[in-house]
Amino acid sequence: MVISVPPLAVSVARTFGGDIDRDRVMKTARAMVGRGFVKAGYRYLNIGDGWSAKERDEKTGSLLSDEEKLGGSLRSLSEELGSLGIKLAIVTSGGTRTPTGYPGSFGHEYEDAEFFAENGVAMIAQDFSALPRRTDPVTMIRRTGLALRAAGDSIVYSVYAGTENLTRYIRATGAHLYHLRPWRDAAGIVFPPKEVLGYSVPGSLFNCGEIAVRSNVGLTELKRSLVISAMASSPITVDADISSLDDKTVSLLTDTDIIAVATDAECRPAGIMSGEPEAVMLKVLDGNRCAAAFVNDTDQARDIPFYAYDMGLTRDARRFVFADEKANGCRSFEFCDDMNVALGSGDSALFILTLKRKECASK
Amino acid sequence: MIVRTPPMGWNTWNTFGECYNEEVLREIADALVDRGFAEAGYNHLIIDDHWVMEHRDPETHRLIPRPGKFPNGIEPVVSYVHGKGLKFGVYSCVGARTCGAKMGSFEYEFTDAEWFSEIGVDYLKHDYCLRPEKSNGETLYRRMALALRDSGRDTVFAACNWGCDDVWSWIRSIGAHTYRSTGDICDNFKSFTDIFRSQVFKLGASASGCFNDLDMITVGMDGEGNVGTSELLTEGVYRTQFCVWCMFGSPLILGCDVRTVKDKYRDLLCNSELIRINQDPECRSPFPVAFDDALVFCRLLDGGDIAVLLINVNDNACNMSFLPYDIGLTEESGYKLSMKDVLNGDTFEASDIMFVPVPPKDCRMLRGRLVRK
Repeated sequence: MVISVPPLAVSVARTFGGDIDRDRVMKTARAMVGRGFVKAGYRYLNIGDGWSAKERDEKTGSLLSDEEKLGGSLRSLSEELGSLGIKLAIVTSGGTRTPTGYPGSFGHEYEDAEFFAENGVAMIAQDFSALPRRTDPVTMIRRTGLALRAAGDSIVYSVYAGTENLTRYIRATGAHLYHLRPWRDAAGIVFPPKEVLGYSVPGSLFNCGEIAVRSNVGLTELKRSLVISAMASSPITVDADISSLDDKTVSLLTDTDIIAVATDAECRPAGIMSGEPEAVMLKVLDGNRCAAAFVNDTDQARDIPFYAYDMGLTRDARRFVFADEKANGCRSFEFCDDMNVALGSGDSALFILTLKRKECASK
Repeated sequence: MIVRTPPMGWNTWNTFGECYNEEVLREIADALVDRGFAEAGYNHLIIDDHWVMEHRDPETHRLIPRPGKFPNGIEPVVSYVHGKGLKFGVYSCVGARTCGAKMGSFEYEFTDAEWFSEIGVDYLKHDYCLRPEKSNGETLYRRMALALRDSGRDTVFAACNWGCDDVWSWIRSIGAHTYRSTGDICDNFKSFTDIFRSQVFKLGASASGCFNDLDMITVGMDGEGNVGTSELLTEGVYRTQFCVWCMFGSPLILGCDVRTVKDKYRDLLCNSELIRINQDPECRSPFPVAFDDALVFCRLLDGGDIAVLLINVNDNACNMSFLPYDIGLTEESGYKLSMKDVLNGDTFEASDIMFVPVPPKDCRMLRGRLVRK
């Protein structure tokens, strides 16, 4: 299975924790449709690990779903979600236990892969924090990768592991997405280093992490997380009870321009033009366009410069840059040499850059 | 433009170096089509260094094709190549001059890209010589990528900085479609084995959209040509080279004289099963199951298939082994590995250990999948 562009998901894994039931899941699913998430491209709903019974079947060793909580089988839930155009994602473990203590797949990889496939699971977010210490993590990831293929190759495999050097090996394991910290510690957006971005490629993309939307997370912080994820060609997973979010927050999460950058068909990682705390990222997009993102992580307002030279422009080009701000911004610039983007502390901005023909005598 | 699978084609350098002209290129284009290379997927005809003059046109500032090679200009060649259903590739350099001291594109990137677009160039190999000491290579490649996009013509951008400056960490972001990762290849055993050994742990960065290029293939050169050496390679060694290029998902750019290359090497280079592994839609990198004296690589393919390449670098035949555990199989999984040699049809099955006899200085490429025990 080829995952050419990053998938978009809503997760209630940490919002509801183990405390899920059919009604809460379906309420979230209906909100995904009703509030425009599905239309914007969010296709997966991650229900966490609370779908499982606390122990495996005593006789067969098989996983069991908690049918009381789910109001039926996991299969019936995935089918009902499917009728709304939503795919079922779950949290699992490659170790002995999931983050909240449900059975893990360690030593059961093949039968569990079949269980997931039979129940219509479309994505597993697999945590590796409870892995026996004397195992080789990459081999264990490889095992589930192979098991999912044997079970029909229909499930997106998203890995959460803290393994060093995972970046360079992940592509060969069959994983489609990878996050470099265990799921239980995933606390927010990681600004991906250049070395990681080089190994984040179509088919096995670096996952910057869940975007947690809580009452103490403002629109400014949320926008920063979305913009960085989009520029990194990372999957976007919104961790929230989306039915209770205000309209402005929903509008930002479903912003068509941010999502277009995130899911651009070329799926290239951004280049880091200047690093934190006044970061400028430049991402080559399909067609003759680029996206430029600016993030001010200092504690003061800043003018962050962007140079046409750095994006590749020369005098012989006889072009100027047209920069059009997106994501609720309304600034635009036309320049041959540079532009300066004024940003408050913690602010971010996203621009789409195009080249225009012109003799460029002076700035 | 999205390049989903590794580009394929032929390049002048390995065989001809500086010595090619319009007539040779027409014959090559004919041979690519008539001998079945084009049908197998080799659809780019690429001219390397030495095709332009040491100066630019004083008025237009454009590059000038060498009149000695191209008395009628470059356009008739492009037209002939396109007329054969092939794509046409050229060469330039980020520097002020090319590696062969001809005109480079430094600070004329947009001028050159516009001209390439006008004459119908489909592929640009962009070298790394003679650039200013204080220039930034990443920026120079970004510049040509931008210029090619701006030209409006879909052009494969093949960066060639020989793996310098941690190229894998930034080359995808600048917009390139392929990137050379090592110095130049020669037609001998050490050269190509050093090349692929050096890239084993960097292949994770190679994928759809931007591929690690192990350089032009020397299979079938038989010691002749520009990068030929006194060493005459055996069929097994050439088979090993081609299987590695396929397994590693490298662009397949041929360098032998396709007009005269022996039929057995033509058949190897056009083997549809090997090319199918190279062009697998998932474009996953292989991983080393064994990487010392014995070389065993495994790669996950689309649809649940698995490829295993076993290379015997020694001078004695050997019964090579690998444990399916290392590729993720377990005893209690209920599965075993069922494989078939893609070149001779031999079959192998195992759940715990697989033994595969491999002749000296040769390899075997297996393809298969997990089946129920």
